[in-house]
Amino acid sequence: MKTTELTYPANPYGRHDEATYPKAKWAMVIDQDRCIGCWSCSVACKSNNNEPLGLWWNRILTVAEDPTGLDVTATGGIDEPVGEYPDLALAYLPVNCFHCDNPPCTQVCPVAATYQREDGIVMVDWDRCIGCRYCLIACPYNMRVFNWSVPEQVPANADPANLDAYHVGDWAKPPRPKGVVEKCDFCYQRVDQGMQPFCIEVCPGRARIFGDLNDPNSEVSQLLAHTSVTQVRPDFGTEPKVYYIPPKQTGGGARTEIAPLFEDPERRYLSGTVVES
Amino acid sequence: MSTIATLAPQAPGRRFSWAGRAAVAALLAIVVYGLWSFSYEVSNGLGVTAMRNIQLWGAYIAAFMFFVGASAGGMIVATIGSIFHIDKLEHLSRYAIWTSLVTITVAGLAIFPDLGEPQRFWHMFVDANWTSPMIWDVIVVLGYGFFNLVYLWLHLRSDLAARYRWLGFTARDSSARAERRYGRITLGFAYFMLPLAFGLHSITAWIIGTQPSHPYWYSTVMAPLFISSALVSGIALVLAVLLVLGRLGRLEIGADAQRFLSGFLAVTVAINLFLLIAEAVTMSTGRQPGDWAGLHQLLVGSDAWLYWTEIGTALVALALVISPRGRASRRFVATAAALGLVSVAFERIQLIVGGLRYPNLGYAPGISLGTPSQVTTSGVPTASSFVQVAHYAPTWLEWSIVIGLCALWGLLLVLGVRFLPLGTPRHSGGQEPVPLPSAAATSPARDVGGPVPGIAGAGSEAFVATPAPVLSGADVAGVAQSDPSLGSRGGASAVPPWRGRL
Repeated sequence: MKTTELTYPANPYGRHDEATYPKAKWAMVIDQDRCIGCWSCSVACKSNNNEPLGLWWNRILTVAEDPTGLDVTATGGIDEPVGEYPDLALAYLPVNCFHCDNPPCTQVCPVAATYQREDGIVMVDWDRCIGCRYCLIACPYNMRVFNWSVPEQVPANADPANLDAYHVGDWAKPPRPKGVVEKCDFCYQRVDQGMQPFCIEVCPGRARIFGDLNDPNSEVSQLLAHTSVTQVRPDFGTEPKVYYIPPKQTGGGARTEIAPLFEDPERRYLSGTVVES
Repeated sequence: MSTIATLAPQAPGRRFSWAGRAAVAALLAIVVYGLWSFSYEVSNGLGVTAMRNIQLWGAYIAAFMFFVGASAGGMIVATIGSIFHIDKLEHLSRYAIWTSLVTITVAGLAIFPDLGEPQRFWHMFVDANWTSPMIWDVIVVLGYGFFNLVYLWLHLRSDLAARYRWLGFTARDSSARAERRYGRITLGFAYFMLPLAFGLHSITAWIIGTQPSHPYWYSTVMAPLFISSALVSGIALVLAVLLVLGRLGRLEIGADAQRFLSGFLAVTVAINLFLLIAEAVTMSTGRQPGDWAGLHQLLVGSDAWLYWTEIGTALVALALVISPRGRASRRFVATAAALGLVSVAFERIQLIVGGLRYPNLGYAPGISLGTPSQVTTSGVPTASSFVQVAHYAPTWLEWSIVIGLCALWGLLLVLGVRFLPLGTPRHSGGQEPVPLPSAAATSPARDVGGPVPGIAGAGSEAFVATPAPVLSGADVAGVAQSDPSLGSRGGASAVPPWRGRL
């Protein structure tokens, strides 16, 4: 377990290329059988990252019909099971930015405002983004969101002229200017400090696991090695780094043997050996 | 009889007529209104448009693609006349180039209202990311605009220098020898402008055609389809501009040029329809998720009215100009040009809307729109902030900005036609225009630019097979006889004097 003193960039919404663990490759595994669809991670994400009203970096989709997500017309309602009574099934697909290994968004950004850090986290520079939304077009998963109007926060920013004065969630995630793109950044300030992203810490079902793919002993590496995981729509060639343990395949027991070894009672700090630079 | 020399009622210092002034004032007022709308959007954010996280692009990008296409098509019309020695287009090329230049200018401006942070546009030049098709499109739009201006200047050089001395720069020489030299340079430039015009619209097509995230766009047909539709809209736009100017008495298209351009329009409309059908057939057998859904929405779904308007107007336009009789009729050609423009405009809107209709992950509750949920005072939600399928209808503000851009296009076009020597044939040799006896008799107030015999023949031998003939009363009569559909406007002498001023 390691905690590093975090040095925030002078401009909190500027570039942050430097990673504390440049040799790491962060990834997330989500156990769909353990997700209860409570939206805790989404709400925690929204509050930690000061996401404006109407913008969500993290959503819980209700899987309808086709668990692979290949059928675009299969759009049931939220929390709506599929099948005929009594053979009903209900599965959730928690989604946030997949931090693809081959991200289409960074390729199309005309000004390189969105870029990939050495440790694989895809970032957005709110100081440079010109708001053309080409990255939203390029993302096959619609994970990016745009500040269409002046961002509205609850509670509201007391001093709208001074965006840095806002301290509700993470102080390094102040309200954004209007007209820029934002998305999940794996809570990179927390990760740089040796902490888990906030959604990992709050998940009551312990459905989310975060770790370093370059560390063979990390929980995500072990899960990838020992269970069958899928990615959402890998056919786009993006190599998403958010993996899913599909529902109903292993009876929900896939993780019971591995998980406790790694569990930190608070799930606050990164575990395993973090490769240092 | 191959060519009708043009009228050039453009003496320096001539003032606008009252109707012309009213038109300019009206256009200016609409431009100012568009600017006000843009400033309103800048201060309030793009939330005032109907675009949201699912409908990421809308009217502005559709307008951009329409204008870029029309500009590329107009340039293709202007250059093929030189490259393939089509003399009947020679006297129209300046109008085509000016139309093309105005259109690309407006296209470039149409990008700004689409940006969330337009004041950061300069990052494109200092932080360019070369893997982005958008950077290449910015480069090609700017480069094409610049070279379009150079090409226009090469065409106008000696006439411009005669009217505005400083605009001749260091090339004010209007001797026959200089004319010949610049004629060759201009012809060489046409060989550069034609592929550039193709590249312009291909790169614009690749902005969306290289995105696998949108199955409807991710197609090899996108660039050819953009080129064919660019030709349709470009030819239609040039034809419309020429016919309107002809109606105002500014120029005479000539029966041959009208037949050629409308025949070209018919061919490109047919190619465009063919590519649309080819795409639909491929989609119908697609195995990619979204292919079938995309085709379904296109043929019978929510986009069907856009798609069938596009197909229907193209078919009517094709029917109007497919026969020689139709191509000879000014009314048929004008209607076909208008329908061609409508068809391509619908094609652009349909493409943008259709490509963004369904997200790849359409599961409930969908994508967060980017605006808060609407809740009544008693707390009853009326509109969710999540959406699974896009339903896009531009707001009044988007319409205002697009109409403002169109008005700017009209304003620039009118000013150019008024102040630039577009009507003077290229081979006038820079001599003072020789008034035509018949025209001078009808309308003494107007100068008529006509080629000077001898000089025109000497100056154009390198690149014009037949020297532009001097317009004479006999020629006019001959045209009027051979082509009755041209009516009383078949010749210069027939233009009513009150139509001579814009």
